[in-house]
Amino acid sequence: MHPEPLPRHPDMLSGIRAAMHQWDAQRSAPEWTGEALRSRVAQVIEPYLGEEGARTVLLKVEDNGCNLLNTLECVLADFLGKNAAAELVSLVVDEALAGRRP
Amino acid sequence: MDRHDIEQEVEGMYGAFSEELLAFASTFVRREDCAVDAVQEVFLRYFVERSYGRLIENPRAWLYRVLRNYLCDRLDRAALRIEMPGVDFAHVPDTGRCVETAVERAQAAEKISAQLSKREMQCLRLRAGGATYEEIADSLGIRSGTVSSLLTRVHKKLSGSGDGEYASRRETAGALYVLFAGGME
Repeated sequence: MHPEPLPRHPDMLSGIRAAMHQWDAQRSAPEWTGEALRSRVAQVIEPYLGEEGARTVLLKVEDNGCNLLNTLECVLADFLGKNAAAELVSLVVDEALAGRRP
Repeated sequence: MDRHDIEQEVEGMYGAFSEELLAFASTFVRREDCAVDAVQEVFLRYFVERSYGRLIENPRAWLYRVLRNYLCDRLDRAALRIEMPGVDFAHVPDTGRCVETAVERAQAAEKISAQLSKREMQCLRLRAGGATYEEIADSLGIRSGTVSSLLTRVHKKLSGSGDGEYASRRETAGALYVLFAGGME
């Protein structure tokens, strides 16, 4: 791996850094943690796992969401298979996380 | 893993893959600033997913797949023309020993890009970048058997089995250099 930034687009890396910092600063807000976060994710996965199943899976998720996607993907893979689980996790990111940026 | 570690990981990925991702993005969008935006979005998405605990087994394939999906979505939304962008031959660097060589390479590159489909070009670009068939398949969302078929078709076109146009391997190699190494200038 080559850690040096590319000279051809020096602004691109700084843009990525700025976006990461902005994201990080805003996602600690209450609407992006704890029950609010679980509720948002539940809306996406309930059609696949059912209300009770979604609630049970999300109980294992930390309030800051640091284990959210891994937890989901492991459980979903058991029910849906690895590829479908990966697709659904991507949908969760689109619908509940990245699609509604903090 | 804390935020700092994830940021470091993203920067490592950036150092390793940003240039080839930019080249890949340029096969979808003609404007370089659009390609840069797309690559930035993909690295931000990588950061977001890792921050939420996603395990990514093959980061390179993941980056290609997400970039491709992002660009397709963007093209669909904007109702832009999806076409194989040509190389700006007016700005092709003179990588040969003489002007004539550079012109011949540019002309050959133009013919190649006109003959190959968008999918064939994407496969070729990834393969030229050292990706395995499985990585190409994962990146483009197709089967590795399809990758093999596409690259076989590319090989036939480039080896001149049809009209013998690219009989010289040296000419072909020069043209591919223009397409993939000089195309982002």
